[in-house]
Amino acid sequence: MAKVTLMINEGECMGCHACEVACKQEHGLGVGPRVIRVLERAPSFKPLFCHHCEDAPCALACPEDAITIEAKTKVVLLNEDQCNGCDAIIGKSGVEKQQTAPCKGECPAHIDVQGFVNLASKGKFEEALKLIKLANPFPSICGRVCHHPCEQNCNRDQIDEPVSIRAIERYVGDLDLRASTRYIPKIKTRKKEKVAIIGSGPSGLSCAYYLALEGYRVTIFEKASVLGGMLTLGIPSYRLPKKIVEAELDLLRKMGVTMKTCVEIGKDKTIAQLRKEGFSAFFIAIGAQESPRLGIEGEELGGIYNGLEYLRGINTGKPIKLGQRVAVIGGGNAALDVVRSARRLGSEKAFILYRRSLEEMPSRPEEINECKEEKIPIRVLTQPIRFIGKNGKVQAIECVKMRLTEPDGSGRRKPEPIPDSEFRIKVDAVIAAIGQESDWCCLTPDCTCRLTEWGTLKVDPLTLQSDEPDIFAGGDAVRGPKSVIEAIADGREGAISINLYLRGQNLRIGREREFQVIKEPQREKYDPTPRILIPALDPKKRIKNFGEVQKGLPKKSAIQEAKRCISCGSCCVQACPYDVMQFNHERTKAVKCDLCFEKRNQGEVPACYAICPTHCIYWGNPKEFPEEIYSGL
Amino acid sequence: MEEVKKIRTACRSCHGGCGVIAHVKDGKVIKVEGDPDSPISHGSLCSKGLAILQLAYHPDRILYPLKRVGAKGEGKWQRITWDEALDTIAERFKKVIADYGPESIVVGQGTGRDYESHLYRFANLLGTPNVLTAGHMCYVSRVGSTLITCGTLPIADYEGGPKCIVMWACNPLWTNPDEYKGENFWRAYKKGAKLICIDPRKGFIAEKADLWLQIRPGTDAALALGFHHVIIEEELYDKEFVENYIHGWDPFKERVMKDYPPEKVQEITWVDKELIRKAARMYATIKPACIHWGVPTEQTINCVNYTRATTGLMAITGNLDAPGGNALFVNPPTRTVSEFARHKDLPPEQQAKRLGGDQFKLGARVALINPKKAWDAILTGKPYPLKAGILCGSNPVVTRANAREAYEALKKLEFLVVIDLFLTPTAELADIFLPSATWLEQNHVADNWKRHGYVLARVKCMEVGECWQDHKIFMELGKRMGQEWWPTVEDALNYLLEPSGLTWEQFKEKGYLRGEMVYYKYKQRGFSTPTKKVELYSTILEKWGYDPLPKYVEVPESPYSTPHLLKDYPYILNAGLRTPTFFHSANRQIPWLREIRPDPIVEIHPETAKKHNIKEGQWVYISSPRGRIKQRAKLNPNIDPRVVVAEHGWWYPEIKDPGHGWEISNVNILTNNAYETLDPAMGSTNLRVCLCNIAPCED
Ligand SMILES: Cc1cc2nc3c(=O)[nH]c(=O)nc-3n(C[C@H](O)[C@H](O)[C@H](O)COP(=O)(O)OP(=O)(O)OC[C@H]3O[C@@H](n4cnc5c(N)ncnc54)[C@H](O)[C@@H]3O)c2cc1C
Ligand code: SF4
Ligand code: SF4
Repeated sequence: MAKVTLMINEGECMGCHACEVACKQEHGLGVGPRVIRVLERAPSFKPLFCHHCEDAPCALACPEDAITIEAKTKVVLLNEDQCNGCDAIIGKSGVEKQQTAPCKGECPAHIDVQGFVNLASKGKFEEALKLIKLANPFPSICGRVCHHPCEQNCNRDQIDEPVSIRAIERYVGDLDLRASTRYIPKIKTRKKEKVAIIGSGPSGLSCAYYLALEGYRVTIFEKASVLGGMLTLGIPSYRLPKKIVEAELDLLRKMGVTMKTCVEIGKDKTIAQLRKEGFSAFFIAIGAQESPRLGIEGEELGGIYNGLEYLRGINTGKPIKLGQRVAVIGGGNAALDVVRSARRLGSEKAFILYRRSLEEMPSRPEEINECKEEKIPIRVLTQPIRFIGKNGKVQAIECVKMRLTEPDGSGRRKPEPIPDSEFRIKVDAVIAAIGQESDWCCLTPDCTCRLTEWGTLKVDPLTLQSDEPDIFAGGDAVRGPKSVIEAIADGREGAISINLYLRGQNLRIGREREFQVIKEPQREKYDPTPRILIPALDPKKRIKNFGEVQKGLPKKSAIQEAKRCISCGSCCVQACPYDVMQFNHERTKAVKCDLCFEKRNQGEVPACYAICPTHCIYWGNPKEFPEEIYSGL
Repeated sequence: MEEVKKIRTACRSCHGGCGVIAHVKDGKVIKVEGDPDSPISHGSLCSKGLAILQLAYHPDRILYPLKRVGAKGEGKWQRITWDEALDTIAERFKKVIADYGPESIVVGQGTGRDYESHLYRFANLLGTPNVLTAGHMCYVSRVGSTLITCGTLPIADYEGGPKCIVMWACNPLWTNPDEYKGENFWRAYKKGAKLICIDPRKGFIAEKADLWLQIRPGTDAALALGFHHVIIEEELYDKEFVENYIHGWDPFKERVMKDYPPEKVQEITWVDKELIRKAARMYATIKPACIHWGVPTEQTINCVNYTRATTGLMAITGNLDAPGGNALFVNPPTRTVSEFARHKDLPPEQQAKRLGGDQFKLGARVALINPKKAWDAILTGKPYPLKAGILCGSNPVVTRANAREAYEALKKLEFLVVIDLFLTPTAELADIFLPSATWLEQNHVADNWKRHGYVLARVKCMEVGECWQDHKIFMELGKRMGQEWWPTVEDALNYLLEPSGLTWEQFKEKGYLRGEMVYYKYKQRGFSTPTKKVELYSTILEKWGYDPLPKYVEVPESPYSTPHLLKDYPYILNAGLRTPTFFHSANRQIPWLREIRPDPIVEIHPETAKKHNIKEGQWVYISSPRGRIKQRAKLNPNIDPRVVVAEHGWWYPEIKDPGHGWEISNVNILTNNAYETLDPAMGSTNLRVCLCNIAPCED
């Protein structure tokens, strides 16, 4: 949705503050942050449309310290002399771009990647951490297992290869993890409301983190005996060591979050009971922890397992013993994790069976690569059609060879069996890793929440609110099996919604965001160093145990890699969650503020604009603003 | 649930008059916004008006009549019914009248809030001449001074398109005083008018101005007379007008030429003589030109002198009643406040008893008394004691000079009724508290006392508790005193509106009435003065025994009049700096506004601050021969280092003790109200200037 550009003719603001009050009245805001704020700089005034965030991300992001938070007034100020249009950073960025770097646009949590990478390039790791934590509380986790869509469209790719963003994020996160006192943002004044979070996966933990920062009393209910969801029960420790997750859980405990294991909501306790116990909002983050059946003959035979239960066994120290020849059915990340885990537990002939070709495999190329390094065969275009057993135990799989059809109208190539191509593979055990679904026992019959046709919870995509106003949900429970960072992003959005809901405020205002991603960056100047190679354990050695495969970067390499960023977007513009920072004619004058736009019907004008006695506020299309408000100010 | 209704009404969070559209749902106002069709404000509103919902629905508002149950000022109250409250008051008043006469009851109000018609009617029918308002130093004082000079109050005619604007001691963009809206000034300025700003501080308007005259506080009358000198010397005046329409030109000219040459005026005012010449020339030669002057010029010993001299400037330059100059607006055809109030029915023998009436004859002419006269009558019993009082929308403990004396007097008054929204430090001294209504809770023909030629419909949008609009309170109390009133508020409004041929219901629909403007009315019928001319030489003042010509009298407490005080009080205190969020002592409890201005501010020049080791934001003691207060320092390089500028009106509603911290930051602890400091004809108090010292607070 188009946004309103507001522009203040600073020279004509006479300091009456009426716009501030108009804005507060219009949007039902109490004492606290002011969206528009008139600064008194006698004899003149400086009106700013800015939320003056407590930990202003723009100020954090600015590598030049051109944006500062005034100690006395807590006002966020841009020092225009110090602002050099981001020329400071390698490559000419230029504020005139006004666009978002693809890394931020693509990161599901919209971490201000350019900001933290730039800070890292200057060795400002604490600032980088603070910036990351505004959007993602767990950089050490994402720095290891994130599928890093940020790197996918990284503009550095147009020169050589993307910046290794994830490795830098991990460096920044690990630095804090090892610090004697870890960084916890200032927790706001305690609020009396209690919030219940169902499920302790990344989504639930992220929601707990941001609600705790708001001052709420948060309790996480987890049905398993261990906390962390897929982080601890799914992802094997050679990719994500348990102690990393444990450290993050500790941090949450320090922040006052209560965590209860072995409580299954819907069985041990219901949402209705929790309401009676005084919980006033709920975040459902139950993930997708169940496995569907393959639905082929012989599935009930012994020696056939599903991937999630297999990994859960390993992760809880009760691994299932298998023979040498283990067939893992599926092409997703779970399948790869299963087969690599089996290999590490001594099944030397473990392999993958996948019905499409390598290109279609949904798992990350990086992991397919590591799989190959570990010399684990991937048999593609092969579809199991029947299990053959003896004495109740599986002994072979009957498969059929597949081929891909010509692309259909939508460009998809479907697999189809090649007639008369059936053959058998001898196996000692089979693990099916073909999908995940949620167990909705927490929704007791009195709940009016509804599920979608895919068995996920129906929520408003912007606010994550379900059909019951006090119930919010996110992560795999809403999206189906997806990723850690998407779960984390939902956790944060859920926390924002719950806070607004409990404060009786509109959940939607100001939250719709669109990113105009920059596709043609300027690239005259750049650091020619090639992408860093992430150090990893020797494949021959690593298949012997669950030691972490990828190593962290040393400081020098982290800085070096960060310097490869060509700063294709404008930092503070991206950092601001409200699109406040805007530049026109190299001035920070016009701002976008959509608060009124969304609220007012067509034809009405923003509240601040309407009442200004000197008419120093303009709004609409900046191209139509009078020349005088740009020149000579 | 009901649909949202939009009701058009008129603000009164300050002197008001801005058009408002109130959104009303289920009997509650949920939002107010500016009315783009308002002829007065054209859609703009200020922070005070916009915050009205936080005032109207404020948790601390008193919603029922109260009676005092503890000792006076102890803060113990008990809820009573309106019947009990009004009966008690009527009974007490009747007893005072029987024992001492009606003049022993003082009836008072604060700043004009559109109920003077009702308040004066109540007082006049009661028979008391002792009406205590802010009028001795605010607005009525300029009405009185211009009344005897040119017949009525000349107003800057922004609509008429001035080509030069003299902004004299006023920041209408923040304060929207009386008939002036900052917005109208701004429109005229934006059309290209030249701007002359006279202000001790360089603020936004000074910054925009072509000429800024940084005047020594309190010396405005000298500057006005200096302007006359330049205009006369350089023969820049309108000869035809002077010849035909000025009374006493020769003696006036003689005094000006002898006593106020720019060199001397520079000494008095600290304004460079060349700048004085330039400004006088600019004003006199660009036509039309208007003067918009602020209340600081009236809150001095020179109130009448300044106002008359300035009216003289408008007259001799031919800008009086000229389009774009200072117009004498024509009232719409409604009953005047004076007629409604029945001033004529106050018996002459009662008029003769007006406290200070023989001393401040011009004040008496506009039916008001000086506060010190009231405090003295209470504290000393002379010339006769005041025994009871009723104060409406007034907080003298904070807003009148020499606050301690005001406090003592009100505390001593035997029976005090206060009508207010909150238990203010003044209200805490009352025996009976009556809860009044905000402007959202009233029906009224608003602005009917102003001189801008409009009346506006203020329409009731909501009700809370048992709050009554002030008009109704005076009506119901009046009826209990046996006075002649109408059955309902609206009946009284019908009476007010009668000459226009409209009923309240019809007027409400119309929204406003405007008098049909005719310029240069004097050409037909002269000016409404005894000589039918602009009386620069006032025959009335002469008759009363005052100096008939305007002059400058040195500020009573200043480096020149009291040099012996300079050792202990080396700075000039310029008191009463306005804020955009508060209206005198009001609004400190409104969260949205207090957030913007959390603390009282004293402005100090950085050089001066350095001498005292005072840092930005530090609490500072300000002391005068009368006491000491504290405010927070703001270093301002745009004031004279010899001047310290402090805000007024401060008390702390959040302090729950019944004094509500009235002594902590109250600038009127420092100001003086001694008789020798008052304007001799009007009785205006010098609220703006005295000597002071500053020191950083220890903590
Ligand atoms: C093997 C495997 C590997 C993966 N690898 C990656 C990777 O490398 N990178 C990546 O980004 N993503 C990866 N994913 C996906 C990622 O782990 C998930 O998308 C993510 O964990 C989802 O988070 P969540 O919080 O929504 O749910 P989960 O992490 O699934 O957590 C849900 C939690 O809720 C609990 N719960 C369920 N029902 C109840 C109830 N009724 N009462 C109380 N508690 C309940 C569960 O026990 C569980 O602990 C992987 C997934 C798997 C299975
Ligand atoms: S969380 Fe993932 S997508 Fe976001 S910046 Fe980090 S690695 Fe990139
Ligand atoms: S992030 Fe945006 S709203 Fe927040 S302080 Fe910076 S510019 Fe202002």
